[in-house]
Amino acid sequence: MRAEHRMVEGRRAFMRRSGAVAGLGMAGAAACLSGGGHARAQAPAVLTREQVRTLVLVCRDIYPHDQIADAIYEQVVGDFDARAAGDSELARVFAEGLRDLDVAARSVAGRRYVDVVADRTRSLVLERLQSGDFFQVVRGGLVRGLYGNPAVWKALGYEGPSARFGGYLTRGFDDIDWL
Amino acid sequence: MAARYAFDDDHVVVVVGSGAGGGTVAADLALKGVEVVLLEAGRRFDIDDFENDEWASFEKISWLDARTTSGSWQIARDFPGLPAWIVKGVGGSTLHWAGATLRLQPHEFKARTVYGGIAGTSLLDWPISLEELAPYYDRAEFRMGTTGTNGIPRLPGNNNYKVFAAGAARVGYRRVHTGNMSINSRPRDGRASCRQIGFCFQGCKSGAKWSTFNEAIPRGEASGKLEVRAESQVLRILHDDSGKATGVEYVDHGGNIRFQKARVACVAGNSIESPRLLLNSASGRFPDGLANSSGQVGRNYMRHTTGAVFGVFDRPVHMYRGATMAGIIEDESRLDTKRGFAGGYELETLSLGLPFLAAFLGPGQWGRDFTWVLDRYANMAGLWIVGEDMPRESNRVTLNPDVKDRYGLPVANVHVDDHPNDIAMRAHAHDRGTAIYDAVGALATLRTPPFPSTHNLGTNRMSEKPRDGVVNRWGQTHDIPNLFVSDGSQFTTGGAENPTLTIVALAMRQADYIARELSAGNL
Ligand SMILES: Cc1cc2nc3c(=O)[nH]c(=O)nc-3n(C[C@H](O)[C@H](O)[C@H](O)COP(=O)(O)OP(=O)(O)OC[C@H]3O[C@@H](n4cnc5c(N)ncnc54)[C@H](O)[C@@H]3O)c2cc1C
Ligand code: SF4
Repeated sequence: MRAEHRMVEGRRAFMRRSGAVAGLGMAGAAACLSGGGHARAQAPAVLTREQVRTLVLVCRDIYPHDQIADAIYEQVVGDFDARAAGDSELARVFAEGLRDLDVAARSVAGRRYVDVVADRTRSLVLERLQSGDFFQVVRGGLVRGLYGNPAVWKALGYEGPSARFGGYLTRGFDDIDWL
Repeated sequence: MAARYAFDDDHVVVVVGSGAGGGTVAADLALKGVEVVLLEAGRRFDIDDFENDEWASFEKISWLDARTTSGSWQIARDFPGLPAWIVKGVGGSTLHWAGATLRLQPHEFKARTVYGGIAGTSLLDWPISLEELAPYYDRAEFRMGTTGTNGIPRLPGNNNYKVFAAGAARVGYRRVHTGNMSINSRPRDGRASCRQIGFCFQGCKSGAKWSTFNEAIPRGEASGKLEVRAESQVLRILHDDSGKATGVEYVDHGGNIRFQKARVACVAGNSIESPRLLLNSASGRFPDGLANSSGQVGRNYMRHTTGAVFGVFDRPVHMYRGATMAGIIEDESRLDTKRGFAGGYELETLSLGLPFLAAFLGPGQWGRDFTWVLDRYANMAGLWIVGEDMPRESNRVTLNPDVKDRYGLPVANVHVDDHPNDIAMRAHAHDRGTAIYDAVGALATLRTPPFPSTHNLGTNRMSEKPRDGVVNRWGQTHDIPNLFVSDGSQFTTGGAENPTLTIVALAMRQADYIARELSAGNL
């Protein structure tokens, strides 16, 4: 839930900047993270295709899982885009964050983020941004979007809802055999 | 048949909050023939509303209204708007409690005497002893159907328990079992037995787990004396010129402001909302809030010394299969000050689904080290630490004048600075938890900081002398005889045990007292 709170803090910071009253609670956080839904094949609403490509790589670099396909990370980025379409402050965070990201990549590696080949080097670039709103919004959205996705549950070995299958009473709640 | 009472019926006892404390005191009074109106801020859920999905459930049943934090505790950094994890709904936090049902130990009622005066604490002895509470513990365990009591067999151990128990045996622990759980190990009291669904924190879909939602409240309603009004949030407690409570002002499900008269009022909104309600009820006569002549309302906030340890193995565990917390090591809860801290702690099995594990494992962490662990999710085992934390006057719930709720009332701010004793205990417990998993061949172990507080205690504490606390040995406020506190905020100190059994036992005892005093004409 830190994710949300980071997000709330980020939003508080925007609100402070825009002169509004701070004080969003979890409800606001929940609302701002519950957004969107599914992978979209269509063109992004706010982000450019180039920005989408960069964001997908950022997402994979924050939470790298080799067994998880790009399409899953793309869904999270699709949700970011959909939310940014209805939230100009969020759109600005993405725009500014992506610009700062490339500035940092150029200073660390002399090229744009997507063109930095070594994972380690891209991590160094991200470290420079990790306390800012952009990084926290992306990471927070990922915690929810990635680890809340049943396709990811499956890939990482979490079986998800069980009541509809009668629980685990007869499905291995005590089947450990290696102790 | 559930009762119906008029707003101006001043014979009723009004109870605010329907969780462990409020649901119990309301039902027990009704069963004794007392007329009760129970006001609950949250909705009345149905068992079909519970979801086997951590975030969906969290968003549906939790208390999400704004709160703020301050102090040096890590929660203020990790979850600044969410100091506590509490339910808003009929049944309160017993909807998502895990069911661990433990008695306090005799010495824990005398913390000040036994631990001595520890600098920087406000330790105090309870005004009651274990012997006084024991008959109510008996009664509560029977009603809750606690395993390991009343001849009720314990639950079978799940995979997470088996790893935990094997490690515990290797490091020499002896008091290890699947817990005293208020979860049916066989059908009982009209409720089914546990199906090992594994979403105890999300609301039990088989009804095996006890809650006031599925036991006390329906029983109270069947007596014909209890009226439950859901989606009714109390804003203020009112009083007359003589200083007696006269009723409560609340917002009903339609958004209308209502006034319910009352002969007695019982506050049971959990340890953040209860002091907030007393403070928000300040009046010309009581400018510092109701029942606050001592200045103690909101102080001495406790949340247990907690943390978790997860072990990663090279073979599958599937910790999430089965009851979430049915496993305990009791050895470290003993009285033993040679470990470098006062008080003791329990170790209990804990599993989180992937969504919550990702959020709680290392708040803020990212990169390959983090995903290396989650890639091995199926091979993880987990345990939780619950230990006695030190009460401090400065750890407190106050009103935050800068942030208002939708009714225009200041929200609660929760300020905590960990005492050095808490830090030493947490470090010790993290080490022991790590040793347990290392003993069974963990590839890696991870120590997690506290989650938003699930045990919230002490902010209207019980004291012998009126100047030291808010309520007396019956939970009756020192200042206002017909105003009671019926939830965990009464705790003088927290002990090492999960608090709900003690909350329920105190509420049962309080109901006996109120009924007695009503018939004697004293209230
Ligand atoms: C995930 C989790 C697991 C847990 N597991 C265990 C366990 O295994 N063992 C254990 O002993 N304890 C456990 N607990 C703790 C336990 O749930 C609480 O200690 C207990 O429910 C507290 O009882 P209470 O009466 O103080 O408050 P609650 O049960 O929280 O009830 C308070 C109620 O009051 C309502 N309310 C608040 N303010 C107002 C108002 N102004 N007007 C109207 N209504 C109001 C709230 O909506 C809520 O429904 C767990 C808690 C959590 C979150
Ligand atoms: S494990 Fe048992 S108590 Fe927990 S949700 Fe399942 S059936 Fe209910």
